[in-house]
Amino acid sequence: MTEIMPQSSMDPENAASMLDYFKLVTRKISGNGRASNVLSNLGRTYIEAILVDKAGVDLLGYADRSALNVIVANFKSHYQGIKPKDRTDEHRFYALATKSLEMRLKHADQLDTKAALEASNSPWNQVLGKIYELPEYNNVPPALLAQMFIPAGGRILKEIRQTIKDPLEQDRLFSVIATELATNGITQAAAKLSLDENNSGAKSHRADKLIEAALGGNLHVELSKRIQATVISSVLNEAVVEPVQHEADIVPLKKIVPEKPRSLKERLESLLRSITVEDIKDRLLPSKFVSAVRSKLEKIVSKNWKLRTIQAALAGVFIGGGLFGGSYQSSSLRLVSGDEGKHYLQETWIAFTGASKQALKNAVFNDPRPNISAAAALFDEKEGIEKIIVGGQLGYAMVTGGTGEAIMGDYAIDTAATDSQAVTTEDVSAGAEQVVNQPVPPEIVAEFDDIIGFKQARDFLRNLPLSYLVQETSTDPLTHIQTTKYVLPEEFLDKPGTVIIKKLLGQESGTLFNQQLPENTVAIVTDFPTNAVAGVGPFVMTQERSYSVLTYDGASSGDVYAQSNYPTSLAAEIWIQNSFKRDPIRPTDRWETFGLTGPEFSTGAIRTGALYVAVDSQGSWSLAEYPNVPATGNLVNLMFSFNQLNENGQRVLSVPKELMSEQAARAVQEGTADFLTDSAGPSPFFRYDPSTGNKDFITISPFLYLYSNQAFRELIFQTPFADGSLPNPDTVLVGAADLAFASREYVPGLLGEGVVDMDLPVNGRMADISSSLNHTGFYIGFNQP
Amino acid sequence: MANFYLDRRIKDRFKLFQGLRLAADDQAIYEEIYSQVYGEVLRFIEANLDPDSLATLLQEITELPDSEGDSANLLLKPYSIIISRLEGIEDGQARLEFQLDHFLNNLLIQAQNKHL
Repeated sequence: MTEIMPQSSMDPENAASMLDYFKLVTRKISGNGRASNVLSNLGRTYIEAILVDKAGVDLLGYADRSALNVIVANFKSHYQGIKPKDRTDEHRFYALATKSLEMRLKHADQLDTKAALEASNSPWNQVLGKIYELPEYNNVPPALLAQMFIPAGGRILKEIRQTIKDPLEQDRLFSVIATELATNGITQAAAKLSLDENNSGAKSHRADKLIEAALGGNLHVELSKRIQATVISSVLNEAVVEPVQHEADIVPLKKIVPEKPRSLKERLESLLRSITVEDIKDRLLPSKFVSAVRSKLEKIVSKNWKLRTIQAALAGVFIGGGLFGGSYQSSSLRLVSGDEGKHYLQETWIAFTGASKQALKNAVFNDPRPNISAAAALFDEKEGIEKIIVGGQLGYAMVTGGTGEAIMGDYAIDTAATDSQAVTTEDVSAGAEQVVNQPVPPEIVAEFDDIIGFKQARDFLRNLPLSYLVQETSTDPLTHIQTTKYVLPEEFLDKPGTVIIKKLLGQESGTLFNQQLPENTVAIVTDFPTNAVAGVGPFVMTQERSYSVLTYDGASSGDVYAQSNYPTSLAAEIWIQNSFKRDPIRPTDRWETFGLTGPEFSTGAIRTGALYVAVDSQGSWSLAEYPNVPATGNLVNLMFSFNQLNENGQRVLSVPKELMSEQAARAVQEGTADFLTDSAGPSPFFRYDPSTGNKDFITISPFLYLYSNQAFRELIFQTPFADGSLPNPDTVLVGAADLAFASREYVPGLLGEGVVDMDLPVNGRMADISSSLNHTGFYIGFNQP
Repeated sequence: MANFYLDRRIKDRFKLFQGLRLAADDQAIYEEIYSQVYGEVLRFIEANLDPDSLATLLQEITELPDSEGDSANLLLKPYSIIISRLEGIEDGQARLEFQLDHFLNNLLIQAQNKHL
């Protein structure tokens, strides 16, 4: 098993020759006692690994169909010509893998065909509309009619897909053909068929004939003519059309949004239009459900809210790709509060269910805990405690943000994990030493060579010492930013396990802005020179340049950036947290730059020990724990704190519990995380030791703290600051912002890629920060002279 | 298709945020497309849920509170409830992904063919 493979065959597929094929196939006994071979879980995982590696998924998420066909052909070559009774486990595995893959591709094609025909704006609807007008079909229920013609539509799509690869061009040609059929083909063909066949035969059998006649003859021949004509025309166009002329194809605004919506009401009405049933015959769908949602939305319109409300609503739901996947799960994460809040919720639920309002009010206002009484006062001021019917509701509202915002003062998620997966400082506090690169022992190399599945890879990573990673230190000659990269050693490269390890470490995935850790890099420690300047305040999203125009009603990203005193050369833009629903600033924060203080901060309803990143008027940053925070300057609460004081007054390194139970983290632990589609990116940590003033950033592979406790602990305590000293485990503060949104970071400086001069577009308008819902960001870089 | 790919496809298909139009125009198109996508998701769920599940879903949406304090939630909550129903539809996630892909393509093709 430890045999070293020649370089040319070190990919997952060829690595199979090292595999024990017996593990990839298992025997299944059916009800009648007959045994058959099926793929084992490991076998299925192995096929997935091959697909990830070979299927060539592009930046838009499309797999290369011809690459998939090559995989199938390759699988077949392993067992073709060998009779079933003579097959080994290797042959059986490839036969089963071929069958599995072929079935999946066929199934996907069927789903795709149905989807192309059933999309509400499918050009096929024009064809069905024409058919519906024919006397022999106008008594057929529309839904049944659509079903009857799926095979005919599917044949057209199949012919197109066999020649044209680009999904957009496929749909374009299908649209041309459907328009041709609807314009006159169907009507003329029906007249001809009526004469020829005198309406004989089942309607469904005539569907194909009708379409074929409408195209003018044999379907394959007629479609081939049209497809070839399109291909030739597009090749000719490619050759003669200059890139500049392509720009003329840019669809102007008025073709998509005839009247540009400006106000809240107009924007919502545009949304309502999009779900309105305009032509039931074309859509062939019932409408009750759409009506219900529509009426819900109409209530929003009728309230005539301020522009910023619609911005929050639309931005929250639609913008930034928040429609699918984990976004909802992770957005709920930021409303969950710490243990203190949860206990309070339980107490109020039990103690005050059914109690009178007055008793409830007395109890919360007189609660001896300052957080509770302050939060209750704040709640009363904003919402009116009279509105609350039972104690449980109050507890829920105060703790979870059920009223639209968390007001307990400890919504920063930083309760410590207590289970066995927590990293600890036990062996660090006493005499920790700097990590020094060690050669990888042969037994570790052998262990790595045995990795063929995710479970083994996770076991391997869990106790991997940082010392086996290669340290590469460099200093950027222009900015003097120093980076130390921790890189996979060559013993771990170009092997079957490499693909799996790198996938687990999320190295194939990037942020929203395609930023990835450098190849094979697991973590980077980044030190800034003393002339670096930092800022905290509104998150500008510098790489998404229209973002500020939306948020600040006309002011551009450049306007907001300059107004916030952010550095003119940007090294890192770190996403801190989402906006909250009412205030321009999060309740716990203070933005002195804009004269804004959050209500919880001003009333002191902050949990003792909550971790803050502070930036003074000179642009110097540090970390501090409440209440020992600076009296002046900007202060932003970090969501996660990793080296907090425990109840005995000792600092303990631990992964916040909520961070471990968050959806993505669960997927990591269960081995089902898909970084290619979840877009988790490099995750930056702030490290600051108040006993020395040393500080830096540690940027890690996403979720490294879950995969690799030892390496994470060593990164925090056993990698030196710029002056060569190690952090003191009893004093160093370590924090991170909303890691669920790591995908929005833009941190070239942290990755050793230098800085970006900010030449953001400027509209010359002042952004009204105080009346906007601001997301929060941290910035670091340099001010050019 | 994760949100990641959907968002990329929207930007790629409609050439958004590449400096080819006014930034405000890009933003208006972007919002309109997401509005249309939202509508298509609703239609998909409606067309694929059985009548009983649809009735339960309708009731859940209708019973959501309308208080002004829940402004963003008026959109967020129905959507998160609606999208959770994909799990109950056979191949729901994959079918919706395919359908949205064709929907986006058709939106672009039809806009390009539109004569104003």
